[in-house]
Amino acid sequence: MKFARLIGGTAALCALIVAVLLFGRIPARGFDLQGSPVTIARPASDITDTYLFPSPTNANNVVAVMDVDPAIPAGAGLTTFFDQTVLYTMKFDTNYSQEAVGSRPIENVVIQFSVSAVSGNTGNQTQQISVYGPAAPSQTGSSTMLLNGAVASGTGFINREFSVFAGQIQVFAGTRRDPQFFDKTQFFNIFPASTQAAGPASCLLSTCPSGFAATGTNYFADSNVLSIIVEIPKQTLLDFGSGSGTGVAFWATTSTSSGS
Amino acid sequence: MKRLIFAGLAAFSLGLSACSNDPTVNPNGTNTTGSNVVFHEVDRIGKPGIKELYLAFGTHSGYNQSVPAGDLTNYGPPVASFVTTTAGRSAAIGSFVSMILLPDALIANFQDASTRASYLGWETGGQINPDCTGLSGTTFGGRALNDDVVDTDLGLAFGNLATSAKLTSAGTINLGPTPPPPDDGKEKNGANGTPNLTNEHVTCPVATGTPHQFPYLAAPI
Repeated sequence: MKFARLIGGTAALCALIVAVLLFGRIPARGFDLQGSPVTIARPASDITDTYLFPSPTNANNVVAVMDVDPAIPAGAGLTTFFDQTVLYTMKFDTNYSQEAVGSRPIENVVIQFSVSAVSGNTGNQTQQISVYGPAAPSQTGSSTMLLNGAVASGTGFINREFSVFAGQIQVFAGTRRDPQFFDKTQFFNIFPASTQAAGPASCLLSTCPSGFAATGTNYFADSNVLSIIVEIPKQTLLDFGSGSGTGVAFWATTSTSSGS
Repeated sequence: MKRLIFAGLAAFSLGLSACSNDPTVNPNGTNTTGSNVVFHEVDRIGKPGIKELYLAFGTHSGYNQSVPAGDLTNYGPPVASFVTTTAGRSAAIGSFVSMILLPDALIANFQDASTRASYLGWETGGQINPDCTGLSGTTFGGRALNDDVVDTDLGLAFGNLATSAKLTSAGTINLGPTPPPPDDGKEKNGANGTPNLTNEHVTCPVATGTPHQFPYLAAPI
């Protein structure tokens, strides 16, 4: 009887926690808005944006960025941490332009990031960041394992720059100001179908027949995100494929062992 | 009372641990259940906003757990359907929008000498100008910090960005032999009594980053 009550109580508590996680942060979504129930429940697994651009400081390098955990309030950046149960992955297909339309891309080189539990005293907490790769993935697709038998190519700490892979790759993992600019509120007033809410109907039929306003409001103007930023030689990535680099695909993923 | 509070906290901790079976990945390269743990994707993004603008919420979980190699087959039809039904555009424009946006990955030309990225620059030959400060598009592709990706995604469906009024066949050769379709004259850009669905009028952020110093994105506020 006591065991049954314990199970029942734990289940109820789980439901309560899930409800709090689900509904407590609904207003805070990045451009990966209302990604899915899983990412809403786990904000630090919620990828908001990716960027890929030539390095402003070295023409031989590119910079790849994946941002997670949308709308971290101003002032809360340095007390927000990555999820220690999430594997963060940057995927590249350096052979993209050689592959058939409709069945590409397939990753041929990936960089993975895992994080430790938060340690340290209040006000001086930190997280260790482990970087795996770049390396060819042990398996492609939506399931993956740690690269190189889970041997990291280097480690560092949150909110501090460091280098890995014999110094070839610069890494930063931590809080940055969200570079995205977007009138999220009006966007979802107009296009509510992409949100988890069943309604309301589009404001085009009622209160906003003219569409977007003459002056939009950047919902993310005063918020932060958790960013993983790497600067890497183009050739280091190209060495994993047979392509010349005229078409390289890049996307980011977050994964958990449960898939939820 | 204190005992009650402690008991509550203990129950809360128990509840938290009981809710998750995911192991911590330790910093020394191992994890709590060994290195053979298989991780399953819960989110994926390459290009911004495909799910948010073009796909209904109910499809997002399946999308996140699928691979981009299947995007054109699996999500090309609903993306095209959004363009033809919600946006009311021609079938040819709907199909071309899906070809531009899918697969969901940023594509870049590492041999290109451009010093700036430009969203959809690889797919369109740099003919779309997403930079919010007014700089022209480049053929590097990828995505820059200053790219107005929201207006670009809106402009594909509701404007003329995916038509021959904006794009030449030579510029879109990376997408294959299908040329950009003609403009059907059904833009919803605020002109001729239509709602403005192509420009959300959000100005460039004051500080997107430190352009000449790693890590390039601005410090938190």
